[in-house]
Amino acid sequence: MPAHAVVGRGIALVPEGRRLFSSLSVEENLLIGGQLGRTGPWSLSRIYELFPALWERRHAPSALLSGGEQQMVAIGRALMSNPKLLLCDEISLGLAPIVVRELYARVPSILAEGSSLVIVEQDIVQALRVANRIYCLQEGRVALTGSAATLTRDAISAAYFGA
Amino acid sequence: MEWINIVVQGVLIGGLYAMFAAGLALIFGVMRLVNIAHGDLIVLAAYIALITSDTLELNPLLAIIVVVPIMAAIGYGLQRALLNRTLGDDVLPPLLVTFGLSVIIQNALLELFTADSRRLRAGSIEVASFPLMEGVWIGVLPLLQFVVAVAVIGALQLLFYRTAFGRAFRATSDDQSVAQLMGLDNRHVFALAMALSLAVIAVAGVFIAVRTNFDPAIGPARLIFGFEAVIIGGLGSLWGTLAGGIILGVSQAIGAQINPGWQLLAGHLAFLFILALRPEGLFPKVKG
Repeated sequence: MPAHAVVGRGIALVPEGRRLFSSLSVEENLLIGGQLGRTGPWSLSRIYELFPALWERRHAPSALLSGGEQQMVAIGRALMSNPKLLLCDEISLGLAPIVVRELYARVPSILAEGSSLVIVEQDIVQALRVANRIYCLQEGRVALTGSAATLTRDAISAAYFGA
Repeated sequence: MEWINIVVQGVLIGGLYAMFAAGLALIFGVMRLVNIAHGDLIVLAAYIALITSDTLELNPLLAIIVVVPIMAAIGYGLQRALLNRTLGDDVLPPLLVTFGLSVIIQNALLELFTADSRRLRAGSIEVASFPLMEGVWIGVLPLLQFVVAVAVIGALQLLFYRTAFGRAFRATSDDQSVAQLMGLDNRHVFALAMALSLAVIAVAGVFIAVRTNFDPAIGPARLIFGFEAVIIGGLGSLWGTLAGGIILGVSQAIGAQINPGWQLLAGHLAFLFILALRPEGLFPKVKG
Protein backbone atom coordinates (compact mmCIF):
# COMPACT_ATOMS: atom_id res chain seq x y z
CA MET A 1 0.00 0.00 0.00
CA PRO A 2 1.45 3.42 -0.88
CA ALA A 3 2.09 5.71 2.10
CA HIS A 4 -0.63 8.19 1.14
CA ALA A 5 -3.32 5.47 1.25
CA VAL A 6 -2.71 4.56 4.91
CA VAL A 7 -4.61 7.44 6.45
CA GLY A 8 -7.67 6.56 4.35
CA ARG A 9 -7.79 3.22 6.15
CA GLY A 10 -8.13 4.99 9.48
CA ILE A 11 -4.55 5.04 10.75
CA ALA A 12 -3.01 8.41 11.61
CA LEU A 13 0.45 9.22 12.95
CA VAL A 14 1.75 11.92 15.27
CA PRO A 15 5.36 11.79 14.11
CA GLU A 16 8.39 12.03 16.36
CA GLY A 17 9.56 15.63 16.52
CA ARG A 18 6.07 16.84 15.43
CA ARG A 19 7.03 17.57 11.79
CA LEU A 20 4.48 20.37 11.27
CA PHE A 21 4.20 22.06 7.88
CA SER A 22 6.28 25.08 8.82
CA SER A 23 5.03 27.49 6.16
CA LEU A 24 1.39 26.76 7.01
CA SER A 25 -0.58 28.38 9.81
CA VAL A 26 -1.94 26.37 12.72
CA GLU A 27 -5.38 26.14 11.17
CA GLU A 28 -3.97 25.21 7.75
CA ASN A 29 -2.01 22.36 9.36
CA LEU A 30 -5.23 21.09 10.93
CA LEU A 31 -7.13 21.42 7.63
CA ILE A 32 -4.46 19.42 5.79
CA GLY A 33 -4.95 16.69 8.39
CA GLY A 34 -8.65 16.59 7.57
CA GLN A 35 -8.33 16.97 3.82
CA LEU A 36 -9.54 13.44 3.02
CA GLY A 37 -12.89 14.29 4.60
CA ARG A 38 -13.29 11.10 6.65
CA THR A 39 -16.35 11.58 8.82
CA GLY A 40 -16.23 11.17 12.57
CA PRO A 41 -16.30 13.08 15.85
CA TRP A 42 -13.36 15.40 15.13
CA SER A 43 -13.65 18.75 13.40
CA LEU A 44 -11.81 22.07 13.62
CA SER A 45 -14.06 23.28 16.43
CA ARG A 46 -13.68 20.06 18.41
CA ILE A 47 -9.88 20.31 18.13
CA TYR A 48 -10.02 23.88 19.46
CA GLU A 49 -12.19 22.61 22.35
CA LEU A 50 -9.62 19.94 23.09
CA PHE A 51 -6.72 22.41 22.93
CA PRO A 52 -8.09 25.90 23.67
CA ALA A 53 -4.58 27.37 23.40
CA LEU A 54 -4.65 26.70 19.66
CA TRP A 55 -7.78 28.79 19.07
CA GLU A 56 -5.96 32.01 19.92
CA ARG A 57 -3.01 31.06 17.76
CA ARG A 58 -4.94 29.59 14.86
CA HIS A 59 -3.62 32.10 12.30
CA ALA A 60 -0.02 32.05 13.59
CA PRO A 61 2.65 30.38 11.46
CA SER A 62 3.15 26.97 13.02
CA ALA A 63 6.91 27.51 13.15
CA LEU A 64 6.45 30.30 15.72
CA LEU A 65 4.63 28.12 18.26
CA SER A 66 6.16 26.75 21.46
CA GLY A 67 7.08 23.08 21.48
CA GLY A 68 3.99 22.17 23.50
CA GLU A 69 1.66 24.08 21.17
CA GLN A 70 3.32 22.42 18.19
CA GLN A 71 2.68 19.03 19.73
CA MET A 72 -0.99 20.00 20.18
CA VAL A 73 -1.16 20.90 16.48
CA ALA A 74 0.50 17.60 15.55
CA ILE A 75 -2.04 15.65 17.61
CA GLY A 76 -4.92 17.77 16.32
CA ARG A 77 -3.75 17.37 12.72
CA ALA A 78 -3.74 13.58 13.12
CA LEU A 79 -7.16 13.60 14.82
CA MET A 80 -8.66 15.66 11.97
CA SER A 81 -8.54 12.52 9.80
CA ASN A 82 -10.88 10.86 12.33
CA PRO A 83 -8.63 7.84 12.73
CA LYS A 84 -9.66 4.50 14.17
CA LEU A 85 -6.09 4.10 15.32
CA LEU A 86 -3.83 6.97 16.34
CA LEU A 87 -0.09 6.29 16.53
CA CYS A 88 1.85 8.72 18.73
CA ASP A 89 5.63 8.73 18.61
CA GLU A 90 7.40 10.28 21.62
CA ILE A 91 4.85 12.89 22.67
CA SER A 92 7.16 14.05 25.47
CA LEU A 93 10.22 14.57 23.24
CA GLY A 94 11.95 17.83 24.07
CA LEU A 95 9.06 19.21 26.13
CA ALA A 96 9.00 20.48 29.71
CA PRO A 97 7.46 18.04 32.24
CA ILE A 98 4.54 20.39 32.98
CA VAL A 99 3.71 20.60 29.27
CA VAL A 100 3.93 16.83 28.93
CA ARG A 101 1.47 16.45 31.85
CA GLU A 102 -0.95 18.86 30.18
CA LEU A 103 -0.81 16.96 26.92
CA TYR A 104 -1.39 13.61 28.59
CA ALA A 105 -4.32 15.07 30.49
CA ARG A 106 -6.08 15.35 27.09
CA VAL A 107 -5.63 11.67 26.23
CA PRO A 108 -8.80 10.45 28.02
CA SER A 109 -10.92 12.89 25.95
CA ILE A 110 -9.41 11.45 22.77
CA LEU A 111 -10.07 7.87 23.90
CA ALA A 112 -13.64 8.82 24.82
CA GLU A 113 -14.35 9.60 21.15
CA GLY A 114 -13.58 6.02 20.20
CA SER A 115 -10.08 6.12 18.71
CA SER A 116 -7.51 3.60 19.88
CA LEU A 117 -4.06 4.92 20.71
CA VAL A 118 -0.64 3.38 20.45
CA ILE A 119 1.85 5.58 22.28
CA VAL A 120 5.59 5.09 22.13
CA GLU A 121 6.91 6.89 25.20
CA GLN A 122 10.02 7.14 27.35
CA ASP A 123 8.23 9.05 30.09
CA ILE A 124 7.02 5.98 32.00
CA VAL A 125 4.98 7.90 34.58
CA GLN A 126 2.83 9.53 31.91
CA ALA A 127 2.51 6.31 29.91
CA LEU A 128 1.38 4.35 32.98
CA ARG A 129 -1.25 7.00 33.76
CA VAL A 130 -3.11 6.75 30.45
CA ALA A 131 -2.40 3.25 29.17
CA ASN A 132 -4.53 0.13 29.49
CA ARG A 133 -1.78 -2.17 28.37
CA ILE A 134 1.98 -1.71 28.47
CA TYR A 135 4.65 -3.38 26.37
CA CYS A 136 8.31 -2.87 27.21
CA LEU A 137 10.53 -3.34 24.20
CA GLN A 138 14.16 -4.27 24.74
CA GLU A 139 16.27 -4.39 21.59
CA GLY A 140 13.24 -5.13 19.46
CA ARG A 141 11.78 -7.84 21.70
CA VAL A 142 8.93 -7.56 24.16
CA ALA A 143 10.67 -7.81 27.52
CA LEU A 144 7.59 -7.27 29.67
CA THR A 145 3.89 -6.93 29.10
CA GLY A 146 0.85 -6.49 31.26
CA SER A 147 -2.04 -4.22 32.08
CA ALA A 148 -0.99 -0.83 33.37
CA ALA A 149 -2.68 -1.51 36.71
CA THR A 150 -0.55 -4.57 37.43
CA LEU A 151 2.83 -3.20 36.36
CA THR A 152 4.90 -1.18 38.80
CA ARG A 153 7.70 1.21 37.92
CA ASP A 154 10.12 -1.18 39.60
CA ALA A 155 9.01 -4.05 37.37
CA ILE A 156 9.48 -1.85 34.30
CA SER A 157 12.95 -0.66 35.26
CA ALA A 158 13.85 -4.26 36.06
CA ALA A 159 12.75 -5.24 32.54
CA TYR A 160 15.03 -2.61 31.06
CA PHE A 161 18.02 -2.51 33.33
CA GLY A 162 17.86 -5.80 35.24
CA ALA A 163 16.85 -6.13 38.89
CA MET B 1 9.76 62.36 -21.41
CA GLU B 2 11.77 59.94 -23.49
CA TRP B 3 13.02 58.19 -20.34
CA ILE B 4 9.52 57.88 -18.88
CA ASN B 5 8.52 56.22 -22.11
CA ILE B 6 11.42 53.78 -21.87
CA VAL B 7 10.62 52.85 -18.29
CA VAL B 8 6.94 52.34 -19.11
CA GLN B 9 7.76 50.07 -22.05
CA GLY B 10 10.21 48.16 -19.83
CA VAL B 11 7.57 47.66 -17.16
CA LEU B 12 5.11 46.33 -19.73
CA ILE B 13 7.59 43.77 -21.13
CA GLY B 14 8.44 42.87 -17.52
CA GLY B 15 5.00 41.32 -17.17
CA LEU B 16 5.96 38.75 -19.78
CA TYR B 17 9.20 37.90 -17.95
CA ALA B 18 7.22 37.61 -14.75
CA MET B 19 5.04 34.94 -16.35
CA PHE B 20 8.16 32.96 -17.40
CA ALA B 21 9.46 33.34 -13.87
CA ALA B 22 6.23 32.42 -12.08
CA GLY B 23 6.09 29.09 -13.91
CA LEU B 24 9.69 28.31 -12.98
CA ALA B 25 9.35 29.45 -9.36
CA LEU B 26 6.16 27.46 -8.90
CA ILE B 27 7.65 24.07 -9.72
CA PHE B 28 10.93 24.83 -7.99
CA GLY B 29 8.96 25.82 -4.89
CA VAL B 30 6.76 22.74 -4.84
CA MET B 31 9.22 20.02 -5.86
CA ARG B 32 12.75 21.55 -6.01
CA LEU B 33 12.88 20.80 -9.72
CA VAL B 34 14.84 23.15 -11.96
CA ASN B 35 13.24 22.83 -15.36
CA ILE B 36 15.87 23.47 -18.03
CA ALA B 37 13.25 22.79 -20.73
CA HIS B 38 11.06 25.67 -19.46
CA GLY B 39 12.02 28.03 -22.31
CA ASP B 40 11.50 25.38 -24.96
CA LEU B 41 8.09 24.57 -23.50
CA ILE B 42 7.23 28.27 -23.91
CA VAL B 43 8.21 28.00 -27.58
CA LEU B 44 6.20 24.78 -27.88
CA ALA B 45 3.18 26.71 -26.59
CA ALA B 46 3.80 29.37 -29.24
CA TYR B 47 3.78 26.70 -31.99
CA ILE B 48 0.65 25.08 -30.57
CA ALA B 49 -0.94 28.54 -30.69
CA LEU B 50 0.21 28.82 -34.32
CA ILE B 51 -1.42 25.52 -35.25
CA THR B 52 -4.68 26.21 -33.40
CA SER B 53 -5.10 29.71 -34.75
CA ASP B 54 -4.35 28.47 -38.29
CA THR B 55 -6.60 25.43 -38.25
CA LEU B 56 -9.47 26.91 -36.25
CA GLU B 57 -9.01 30.34 -37.86
CA LEU B 58 -9.08 31.88 -34.41
CA ASN B 59 -7.57 35.16 -33.36
CA PRO B 60 -4.31 34.08 -31.65
CA LEU B 61 -5.34 35.85 -28.45
CA LEU B 62 -8.46 33.68 -28.33
CA ALA B 63 -6.32 30.63 -29.04
CA ILE B 64 -5.12 30.98 -25.43
CA ILE B 65 -8.36 29.23 -24.43
CA VAL B 66 -7.25 26.17 -26.41
CA VAL B 67 -3.50 26.32 -25.75
CA VAL B 68 -3.76 26.56 -21.95
CA PRO B 69 -5.57 23.23 -21.40
CA ILE B 70 -3.35 21.49 -23.97
CA MET B 71 -0.18 22.67 -22.22
CA ALA B 72 -1.62 21.79 -18.80
CA ALA B 73 -2.35 18.26 -20.03
CA ILE B 74 1.19 17.99 -21.45
CA GLY B 75 2.54 19.15 -18.08
CA TYR B 76 0.53 16.62 -16.11
CA GLY B 77 1.54 13.76 -18.41
CA LEU B 78 5.19 14.81 -18.53
CA GLN B 79 5.42 14.89 -14.76
CA ARG B 80 3.65 11.56 -14.20
CA ALA B 81 5.41 9.68 -17.00
CA LEU B 82 8.90 11.13 -16.81
CA LEU B 83 9.86 13.80 -14.30
CA ASN B 84 8.48 12.10 -11.15
CA ARG B 85 10.93 9.28 -11.78
CA THR B 86 13.87 11.69 -11.68
CA LEU B 87 13.00 13.28 -8.32
CA GLY B 88 14.89 12.18 -5.25
CA ASP B 89 17.65 13.29 -2.93
CA ASP B 90 19.97 13.91 -5.87
CA VAL B 91 19.32 17.18 -7.76
CA LEU B 92 21.30 16.09 -10.84
CA PRO B 93 18.86 13.64 -12.55
CA PRO B 94 16.04 16.17 -13.04
CA LEU B 95 18.56 18.72 -14.40
CA LEU B 96 19.95 16.22 -16.89
CA VAL B 97 16.55 14.90 -17.96
CA THR B 98 15.04 18.37 -18.48
CA PHE B 99 18.20 19.39 -20.36
CA GLY B 100 17.68 16.39 -22.62
CA LEU B 101 14.03 17.30 -22.98
CA SER B 102 15.07 20.81 -24.05
CA VAL B 103 17.24 19.38 -26.85
CA ILE B 104 14.47 17.02 -27.94
CA ILE B 105 11.78 19.74 -28.05
CA GLN B 106 14.03 22.14 -29.98
CA ASN B 107 14.92 19.52 -32.60
CA ALA B 108 11.39 18.18 -32.90
CA LEU B 109 10.15 21.75 -33.54
CA LEU B 110 12.96 22.27 -36.06
CA GLU B 111 11.98 19.08 -37.87
CA LEU B 112 8.28 19.93 -37.90
CA PHE B 113 8.34 23.67 -38.54
CA THR B 114 11.84 24.32 -40.02
CA ALA B 115 14.11 27.09 -38.71
CA ASP B 116 12.00 29.83 -40.35
CA SER B 117 10.86 32.68 -38.15
CA ARG B 118 7.14 32.62 -37.50
CA ARG B 119 4.72 35.19 -36.21
CA LEU B 120 1.09 35.14 -35.16
CA ARG B 121 -1.16 37.83 -36.61
CA ALA B 122 -3.64 39.22 -34.14
CA GLY B 123 -5.02 41.93 -36.40
CA SER B 124 -5.32 45.63 -35.68
CA ILE B 125 -4.79 45.26 -31.90
CA GLU B 126 -1.09 44.68 -32.68
CA VAL B 127 -0.52 48.31 -33.63
CA ALA B 128 -3.27 50.01 -31.61
CA SER B 129 -2.01 52.46 -29.01
CA PHE B 130 -3.10 55.46 -26.98
CA PRO B 131 -1.21 58.39 -25.45
CA LEU B 132 -0.59 58.24 -21.71
CA MET B 133 0.90 61.72 -21.72
CA GLU B 134 2.76 63.81 -24.18
CA GLY B 135 5.48 61.70 -25.79
CA VAL B 136 4.44 58.50 -23.97
CA TRP B 137 2.33 56.12 -25.99
CA ILE B 138 1.04 52.86 -24.62
CA GLY B 139 0.52 49.96 -27.00
CA VAL B 140 -2.77 48.17 -26.39
CA LEU B 141 -1.17 44.75 -26.85
CA PRO B 142 1.74 45.30 -24.41
CA LEU B 143 -0.73 46.75 -21.90
CA LEU B 144 -3.06 43.77 -22.32
CA GLN B 145 -0.09 41.45 -21.84
CA PHE B 146 0.92 43.24 -18.66
CA VAL B 147 -2.61 43.24 -17.25
CA VAL B 148 -2.94 39.53 -18.03
CA ALA B 149 0.44 38.87 -16.33
CA VAL B 150 -0.66 40.71 -13.17
CA ALA B 151 -3.97 38.83 -13.22
CA VAL B 152 -2.21 35.47 -13.67
CA ILE B 153 0.15 36.16 -10.78
CA GLY B 154 -2.69 37.45 -8.59
CA ALA B 155 -4.68 34.31 -9.39
CA LEU B 156 -1.70 32.08 -8.54
CA GLN B 157 -1.24 33.95 -5.28
CA LEU B 158 -4.90 33.39 -4.35
CA LEU B 159 -4.70 29.76 -5.38
CA PHE B 160 -1.59 29.19 -3.27
CA TYR B 161 -2.67 30.98 -0.13
CA ARG B 162 -6.46 30.77 -0.09
CA THR B 163 -7.45 27.33 -1.41
CA ALA B 164 -7.16 23.69 -0.37
CA PHE B 165 -5.31 23.11 -3.62
CA GLY B 166 -2.61 25.62 -2.66
CA ARG B 167 -2.45 24.27 0.88
CA ALA B 168 -1.64 20.84 -0.55
CA PHE B 169 1.13 22.41 -2.69
CA ARG B 170 2.65 24.21 0.26
CA ALA B 171 2.40 21.21 2.60
CA THR B 172 4.06 18.95 0.03
CA SER B 173 6.77 21.56 -0.47
CA ASP B 174 7.40 21.74 3.31
CA ASP B 175 7.60 18.02 4.02
CA GLN B 176 6.89 15.46 1.34
CA SER B 177 6.82 12.41 3.58
CA VAL B 178 4.49 13.90 6.20
CA ALA B 179 2.24 15.20 3.41
CA GLN B 180 1.82 11.59 2.30
CA LEU B 181 0.78 10.66 5.85
CA MET B 182 -2.03 13.21 5.43
CA GLY B 183 -3.23 11.31 2.37
CA LEU B 184 -1.66 13.56 -0.27
CA ASP B 185 -0.26 11.57 -3.18
CA ASN B 186 2.88 13.55 -3.95
CA ARG B 187 3.15 12.20 -7.53
CA HIS B 188 -0.30 13.67 -8.23
CA VAL B 189 0.47 16.94 -6.42
CA PHE B 190 3.69 17.36 -8.43
CA ALA B 191 1.88 16.63 -11.69
CA LEU B 192 -0.76 19.26 -10.84
CA ALA B 193 2.00 21.78 -10.11
CA MET B 194 3.64 21.07 -13.47
CA ALA B 195 0.26 21.36 -15.20
CA LEU B 196 -0.24 24.75 -13.56
CA SER B 197 3.28 25.87 -14.51
CA LEU B 198 2.75 24.97 -18.16
CA ALA B 199 -0.70 26.60 -18.15
CA VAL B 200 1.01 29.85 -17.08
CA ILE B 201 3.70 29.65 -19.76
CA ALA B 202 1.05 28.79 -22.36
CA VAL B 203 -0.30 32.30 -21.82
CA ALA B 204 3.23 33.71 -22.06
CA GLY B 205 3.93 31.66 -25.19
CA VAL B 206 0.91 33.06 -27.01
CA PHE B 207 1.89 36.65 -26.16
CA ILE B 208 5.47 36.06 -27.36
CA ALA B 209 4.14 34.62 -30.60
CA VAL B 210 1.99 37.67 -31.23
CA ARG B 211 4.55 40.28 -30.21
CA THR B 212 7.76 38.98 -31.75
CA ASN B 213 9.09 36.59 -34.33
CA PHE B 214 9.87 33.18 -32.97
CA ASP B 215 11.72 30.10 -34.16
CA PRO B 216 12.59 26.76 -32.52
CA ALA B 217 15.87 28.09 -31.07
CA ILE B 218 14.64 30.99 -28.91
CA GLY B 219 13.72 28.87 -25.88
CA PRO B 220 16.98 28.94 -23.87
CA ALA B 221 17.08 32.76 -23.85
CA ARG B 222 13.51 32.83 -22.41
CA LEU B 223 14.66 30.35 -19.77
CA ILE B 224 17.44 32.73 -18.77
CA PHE B 225 15.05 35.70 -18.52
CA GLY B 226 12.82 33.56 -16.33
CA PHE B 227 15.72 32.51 -14.10
CA GLU B 228 16.97 36.07 -13.77
CA ALA B 229 13.54 37.38 -12.83
CA VAL B 230 13.13 34.62 -10.22
CA ILE B 231 16.51 35.33 -8.66
CA ILE B 232 16.04 39.12 -8.68
CA GLY B 233 12.62 38.75 -7.08
CA GLY B 234 13.57 36.04 -4.60
CA LEU B 235 11.60 32.92 -3.91
CA GLY B 236 9.47 34.39 -1.14
CA SER B 237 6.38 35.42 -3.03
CA LEU B 238 4.88 35.34 -6.47
CA TRP B 239 4.66 39.14 -6.42
CA GLY B 240 8.46 39.04 -6.07
CA THR B 241 8.65 37.38 -9.49
CA LEU B 242 6.57 40.24 -10.90
CA ALA B 243 9.01 42.75 -9.37
CA GLY B 244 11.91 40.70 -10.77
CA GLY B 245 10.36 40.64 -14.24
CA ILE B 246 9.76 44.39 -14.19
CA ILE B 247 13.30 45.18 -13.02
CA LEU B 248 14.69 42.98 -15.79
CA GLY B 249 12.39 44.54 -18.39
CA VAL B 250 13.22 48.11 -17.37
CA SER B 251 16.97 47.40 -17.29
CA GLN B 252 16.82 45.94 -20.79
CA ALA B 253 14.82 48.91 -22.07
CA ILE B 254 17.30 51.38 -20.57
CA GLY B 255 20.26 49.41 -21.97
CA ALA B 256 18.69 49.33 -25.43
CA GLN B 257 18.18 53.09 -25.29
CA ILE B 258 21.83 53.75 -24.50
CA ASN B 259 22.99 51.42 -27.24
CA PRO B 260 20.78 48.94 -29.15
CA GLY B 261 23.42 46.23 -28.62
CA TRP B 262 23.27 46.62 -24.85
CA GLN B 263 19.68 45.46 -24.30
CA LEU B 264 20.50 41.94 -23.10
CA LEU B 265 23.74 43.00 -21.45
CA ALA B 266 21.94 45.59 -19.30
CA GLY B 267 19.46 42.94 -18.13
CA HIS B 268 22.27 40.56 -17.20
CA LEU B 269 24.15 43.36 -15.41
CA ALA B 270 21.09 44.26 -13.33
CA PHE B 271 20.77 40.59 -12.45
CA LEU B 272 24.46 40.30 -11.46
CA PHE B 273 24.22 43.51 -9.47
CA ILE B 274 21.30 42.21 -7.39
CA LEU B 275 22.88 38.78 -7.07
CA ALA B 276 26.01 40.44 -5.65
CA LEU B 277 24.15 42.78 -3.27
CA ARG B 278 21.22 40.59 -2.23
CA PRO B 279 21.86 36.98 -3.23
CA GLU B 280 18.57 35.94 -1.61
CA GLY B 281 16.63 38.28 -3.94
CA LEU B 282 14.43 41.26 -3.11
CA PHE B 283 11.64 39.21 -1.53
CA PRO B 284 13.33 36.21 0.08
CA LYS B 285 11.47 33.29 1.61
CA VAL B 286 11.02 33.84 5.34
CA LYS B 287 12.45 30.91 7.23
CA GLY B 288 10.52 29.78 10.29
